[in-house]
Amino acid sequence: MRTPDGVRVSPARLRAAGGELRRAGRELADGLRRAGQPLAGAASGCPGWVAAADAVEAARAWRDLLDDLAGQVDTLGRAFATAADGYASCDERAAERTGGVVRW
Amino acid sequence: VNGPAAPPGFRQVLGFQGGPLRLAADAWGALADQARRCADAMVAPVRSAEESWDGLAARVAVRRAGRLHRTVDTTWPPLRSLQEALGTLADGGDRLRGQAWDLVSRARAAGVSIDLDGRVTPAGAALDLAGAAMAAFRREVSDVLAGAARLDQQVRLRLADHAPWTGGRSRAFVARASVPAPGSDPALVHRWWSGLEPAGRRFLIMTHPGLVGGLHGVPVHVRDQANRIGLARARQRLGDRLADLVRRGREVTRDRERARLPLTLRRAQVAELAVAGERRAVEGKLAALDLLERELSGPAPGHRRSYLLELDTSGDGQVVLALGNPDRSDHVLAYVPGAGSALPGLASGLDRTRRMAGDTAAAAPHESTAVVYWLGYDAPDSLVDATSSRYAGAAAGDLRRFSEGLRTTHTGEGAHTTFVGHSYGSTVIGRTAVGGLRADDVVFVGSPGAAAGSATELDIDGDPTRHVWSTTALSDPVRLASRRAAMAGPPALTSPWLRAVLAHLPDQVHGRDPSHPDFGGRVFDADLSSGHSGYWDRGNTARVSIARIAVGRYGDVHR
Repeated sequence: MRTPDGVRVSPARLRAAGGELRRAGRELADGLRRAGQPLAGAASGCPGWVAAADAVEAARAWRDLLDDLAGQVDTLGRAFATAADGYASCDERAAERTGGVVRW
Repeated sequence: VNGPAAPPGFRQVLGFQGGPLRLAADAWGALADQARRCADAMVAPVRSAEESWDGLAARVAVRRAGRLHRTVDTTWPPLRSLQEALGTLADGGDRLRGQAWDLVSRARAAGVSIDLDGRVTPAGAALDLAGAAMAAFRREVSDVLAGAARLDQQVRLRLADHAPWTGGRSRAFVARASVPAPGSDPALVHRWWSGLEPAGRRFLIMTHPGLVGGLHGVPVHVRDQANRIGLARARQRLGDRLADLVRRGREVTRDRERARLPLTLRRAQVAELAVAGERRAVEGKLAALDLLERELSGPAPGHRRSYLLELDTSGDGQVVLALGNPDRSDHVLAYVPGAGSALPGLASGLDRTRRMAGDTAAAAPHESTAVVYWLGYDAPDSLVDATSSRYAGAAAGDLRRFSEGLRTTHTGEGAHTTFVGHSYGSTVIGRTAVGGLRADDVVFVGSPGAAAGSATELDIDGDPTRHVWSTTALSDPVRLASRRAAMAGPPALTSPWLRAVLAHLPDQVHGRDPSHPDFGGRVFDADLSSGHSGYWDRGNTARVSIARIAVGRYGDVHR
């Protein structure tokens, strides 16, 4: 779809791109879930070692950050897909309205 | 990270179990891979959106996507560092536990009791034990405790260095001009790197991975992070080039089919051949990079992971890959391959390296050995090229700095380091060692000469008369590179005609044969069936001996 004022979009490609981004975000979130247990249990073999306790805390902080990033990637993908749907429905509505006015 | 806290006591050292830490280290590694894959997976959809979408919303969305991609892409290097830090804690803690239990049992045998708090007291009949002996045990306990406190603190600092940053910011500008030039003294590089802030280090890894990845003196795990970024970029670049070549190939084929005049036809044929040749070369390199990627992803059995220390895809390509971390290992065995080695032939070099990793683990199951595939030089393409010392001369500086870098970045007191060269690789090692090589042992296998007249010309850390080793199988045609050895060889290799030819050749191609007793090194056996390339075949005595030299079991070498 192209308009003279510079708006150009392929809703299908945009939707596909959104899907890929969502998949990337989901996979990162899955990786985080898988890593959860071993990271939380890092200090279980060495009580009294402060570095091991720090490692568990570092894991918690990193999980928060990565969880947030995975969510942002997913949200971005959803935004792409929503934009694609919006462009497509806008086009359809315009077509309907135009079809209602123009009679040949 | 918590504030100051009590260091681990003797009880904590005795009870240390590194297993859960290793599992956590593997989880950090897997997470780093996942974060990198996420960043990589964002590239194509964002590019697709950029190409197919214009307008205000497009500009906003693409800008936001770019920012998010950069943030995700900066997460995985620190995750790798955390993997490394936990591995260091697991290895160091297990080693200290071993020392502590050994101390307890030696003390018990001497009639001394060491309790869980590390208190040393005479036990039973040994009440009259000399004060000096008691003091010695107390000193050993305090050494173990000091080692534990150092390890604990060192790992805490590294964890703090790689804490997640707020707001997704990990950047701190470091001027490119302040980065030491390639080939700088590794000790100087190490001092410079140690003086950088963590954010500055991250900035350099992400923005100049090629510079950081190639610097001897930067810790191995950091070079690995930088070179993994280089690997991803090289794959992208070669993939794009391949797509261009496929397109160009179709064009030149069409030109050839349409050509009417002989001259135009000839030109099109030449162009078609050139495109096909470059396409094969690019495909070969891409296949090697795929292999590298597989080797680098995920922990290998025994929690040994691989580290990419150098990667250059220009020309024939160069690569240095370590199985296990040389900075944290008890032993390092670096293998330098010979003529014909190039990035596209990585599979066979890597296979040999893996065999040596298995052999050294079997030779010293309770010690760690990192085995390095060192193709950090432009190897001769053919046997004719291999008669030139030019390639060895060009490689010497980098191999020397590599050996110095290993000494500089080792986290302990330095690994026992062995360099093994096969064929022309032995010439490279010899040529380097003449000017100085930081090696405890050097091993020449199927050598056409080690660029020296005798072992004593080789400047290594060990005594060259005891730590220069060599083997050449009777069936190895490389013996022809030494006139004297060839003339003493089996009749099949030394016909009268060949003897006549050899008599007119200089004594050796690259100096005296290191497997000849006159060279002054220690010669060890190889199976008769070795030929030139069979030294690492299953069961070959040479292969077993190489592993034993690498772990310092000199008395068990087959001689």
